[in-house]
Parts: sequence; structure tokens; C-alpha cells
Amino acid sequence: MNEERYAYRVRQTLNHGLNDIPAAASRRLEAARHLALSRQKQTVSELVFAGAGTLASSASKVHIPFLKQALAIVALLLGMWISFYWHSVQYVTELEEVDSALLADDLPPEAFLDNDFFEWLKDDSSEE
Amino acid sequence: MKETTLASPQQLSSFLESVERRAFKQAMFAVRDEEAALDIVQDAMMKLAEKYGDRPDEEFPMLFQRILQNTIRDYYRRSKVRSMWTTLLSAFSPDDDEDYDPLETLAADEDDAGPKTPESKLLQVQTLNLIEDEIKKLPPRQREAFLMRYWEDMDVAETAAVMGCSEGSVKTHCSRATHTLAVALSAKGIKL
Repeated sequence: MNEERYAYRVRQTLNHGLNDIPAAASRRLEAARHLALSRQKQTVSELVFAGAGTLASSASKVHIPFLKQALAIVALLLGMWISFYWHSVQYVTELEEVDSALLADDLPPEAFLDNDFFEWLKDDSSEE
Repeated sequence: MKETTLASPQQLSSFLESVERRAFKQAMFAVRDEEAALDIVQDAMMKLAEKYGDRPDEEFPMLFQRILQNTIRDYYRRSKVRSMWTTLLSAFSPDDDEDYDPLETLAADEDDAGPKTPESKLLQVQTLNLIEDEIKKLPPRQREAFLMRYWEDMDVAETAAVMGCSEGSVKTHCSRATHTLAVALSAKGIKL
């Protein structure tokens, strides 16, 4: 017996039988097919959209992260500079107040009661 | 580009349309229950569409067969006891030959467009019924291999991949199935 030849005959008979599937079953198969198609995974269109999106929004989407990073760095540097400037201005103002008070001999009486003040005066005169 | 080879909805539709009837019959041979067979085919179609609907259409036959066979096995697992009873009871039921009423078949066929001569049609239906009965009786692995190899036109390597066995096993299953069918059908006076 030739196996393939025999199997081919069986196949032919089985194929004839496909036409005799009950109408209700055929309708159910058709409905199942439509249902399956409605849920088909569609990577093709998603890929196309994703590709198009990348191309179209390359200026915005690709550069926006760098822009944000740059803005964050600039804001940080600006904040640091403002903070440093404000502290230095404050420091200079304090020094100015003390110096002007010393020069004008307009120190408040509390200053002469402060031991630290005399220590400072000693250190300052010894350095000279 | 890889995207261009992916299947379109039309390709999936054509594929499903081309296999749905055979899939239904395969499931029927395995589970012997029309409703269950229809559910199995529907599940298999849904899984193929939902999980692999974006794959190239040339991959569909293998993927679908793998899903279909797994769905049939899942059905077996879920209704193992019920299936066992069906098999047991079918062994005690009289042969279909004895129950077969040609008049019923002829009456049903009158609605069909263009049957051949009543005698040839009857013979064809009888032969088909006998073949289908014998296919149902085959051991599951032999039946799977035989149907995939010779009805679904899959080659030995593809069938082996779907069944998860060696190519040698596929050849053995096919050979045994064909031999069993030939002997059984020959005993019933059917020469193919």
C-alpha cells in the first residue's frame, strides 16, 4: 500500500465532507471568524503610526527632553547665583553697618558689653 | 522592512475562511460533540487573532494548528471524566452502519444544490461517514499527525514542531494511522 496515495484518497473524501457541514455550524463558524477578526492584533498600523509620529514629531518629542534638562540646569544655576548674590549682599551690608558705626563712633552701648567685640578689636589690631 | 510582511485583516480572514471547516471537523473527530467542537474552533480563532494577528500570514497555518491542538487538549483536560464516559458509551453503542438510514440522507440532500446521481451521492456519504468514524477511533496522536500531515498539507518538520515530537515520531504516527484506516475500511468493504 502506498501510504501517501491512500492518504490522498482519504483527504479527497474528507474534503467532500466539508460541503455537508450543517448550515447552523457554518453560520457559527462565520460568526466566530468575524469575532476573531474584530479582535485581530494590529501591530502593523501601530508601527506605521509610531514611525510616522517619530518622524513628524521628531523636533518636539526628541528634543523636548533635552530642552527640559537644559532648562532645569539653567534654573538651578540661576537659583544658586541668586542665593550667592543675596548672601554676599547681606554680608557686605552687615560689614558696612559695623564699619560705618565704628567710623562714626556710633556704636550702641551693648557693643561695649560684648566680650567678642573686644576680642575682635584685639585680633584686628594685632594683625596690623 | 519586516512590517510589510505582516498579515492584513484580509489575509487573516482568508486564512480563517480556508481552514475553519477543516478545523471544525478536526475538533469533531477529537471531541465528538458539535457544540464543543464549535467552541474549540472559535477559541482557537480568537487566540490566533488576538495573540498572533500581527504575524506574517505564512506563519498562520502552523500557529493555528498548534493553538487548535492545544485547545482540544485543554478541552480533554477540562472534561476528562465526561470524555471517558463518552468513549465508554460509544463502545457499547451499535455501529453507525446499522443505524444508517439512506432515506434520511437523501431527504436532507434534496435541499442542496446539484447533487450527483442519488446512488453516487449515497455511496459518497456512506464512505465519508465510515472514514470519519475510523478517524475518530484513531489514537489522538496518530489522528493529529495524520490530519495535519495529509489534510492540512503540513510537512513532516512542521507537524513535528506543532506536535512537539521528533520527525521520526510523526512518520511513525502517520504510517500507523494510514495502516489502521486502510485495514478498518477494507474490512468494511471500502477500497480507496
